[in-house]
Amino acid sequence: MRRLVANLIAFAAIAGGLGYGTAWTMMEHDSMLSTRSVGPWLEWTALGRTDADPYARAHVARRGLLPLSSAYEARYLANTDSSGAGLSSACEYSIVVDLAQSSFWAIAAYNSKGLLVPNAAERYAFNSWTAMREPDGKAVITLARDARPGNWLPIGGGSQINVVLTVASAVDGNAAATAAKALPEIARQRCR
Amino acid sequence: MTVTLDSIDAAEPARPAAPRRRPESRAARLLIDWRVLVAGVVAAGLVHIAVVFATPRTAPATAMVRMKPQLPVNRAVVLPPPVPAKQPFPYAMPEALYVFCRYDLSVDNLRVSAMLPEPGWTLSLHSAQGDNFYVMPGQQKRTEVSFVLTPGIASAEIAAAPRRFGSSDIQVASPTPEGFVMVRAPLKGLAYRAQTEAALGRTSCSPAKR
Repeated sequence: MRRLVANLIAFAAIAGGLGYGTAWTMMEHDSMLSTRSVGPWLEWTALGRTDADPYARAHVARRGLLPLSSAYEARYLANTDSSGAGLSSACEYSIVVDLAQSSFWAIAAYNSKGLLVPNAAERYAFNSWTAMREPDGKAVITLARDARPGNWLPIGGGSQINVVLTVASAVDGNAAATAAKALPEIARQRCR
Repeated sequence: MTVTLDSIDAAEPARPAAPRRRPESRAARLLIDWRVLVAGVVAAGLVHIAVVFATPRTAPATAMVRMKPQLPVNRAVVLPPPVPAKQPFPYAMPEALYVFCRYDLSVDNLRVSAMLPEPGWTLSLHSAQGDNFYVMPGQQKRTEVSFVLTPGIASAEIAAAPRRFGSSDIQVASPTPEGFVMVRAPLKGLAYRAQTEAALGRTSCSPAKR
């Protein structure tokens, strides 16, 4: 009897735990089947498309997202800097965006649940129209808790943050391919 | 007659030899059968597939679930730019204005018209699960868009009534009876907000008889 109960418990634990656990991991995080990484940036390659893989469709539904098709607009998410350390609102980061080939891009900071980071300055994003450019056409975005000159994107205080770079259709019509070549580094400047 | 101990022993009937217990193998001593482990792994694969395929229909916080209470059906609504306290859905692009039209095609089709004045603007159609089944980006030249959204093949077969909208109308079939029309207009800055809102205000959604 004891052996029967132990076997039943083992079966349920493996079937439920392993089955749900792997499904959850592949729906919420990255997997070779549905995502690709370029430096710190993670892209769900078929996000929003009707022919998307089941993991991408489940990811969209679980998170309550409304993404545009990745064929038109690529969306890159980073939760680490280029050295692999987690993005923290206690640190300051610099991102140099050079996406002249894209018709439109935007960069914004969110918390781990995808909600905008509250800040007194009420600045939440920059896009290809609102970002101030350097003489060479690049835009330097500074993520920091306290005010910085230039394109300062406040990242609040005391929590893990995600940065999302959205790149709309490129001149050559393939947003993802063009953007992936020019995805910026996320350089940590200093931490408190 | 002499009786010796040896003869007594010899006279006793031979006892049947006690069955020798075979030493229990390590596998047999384990409480859990290895076949149960294999069956568990196979069942885990089935659970994995079932969970992944069921999630789009059973997820408790899809965009439709989140936004349904705020949006009237078959009517266009201009939303203010997302801010932390009022964000229509996770990872919504800030510095943008949105028009949403939550549609329900169970009774009528939906006539949609909108203007996309420049690059960066998009008109997109999303199923109830959030999939983007149609997108039209703004071009260098101002684009006026008008089409009729109809139920997909499965729903159209149920609705036997003949369509009444003009045959020249562009039709787009929705894979689900419910979903969203979304027009997204990135803001160039506060100075452009009124102009952007005015252009977005030209978006309309209205039922069209079948």
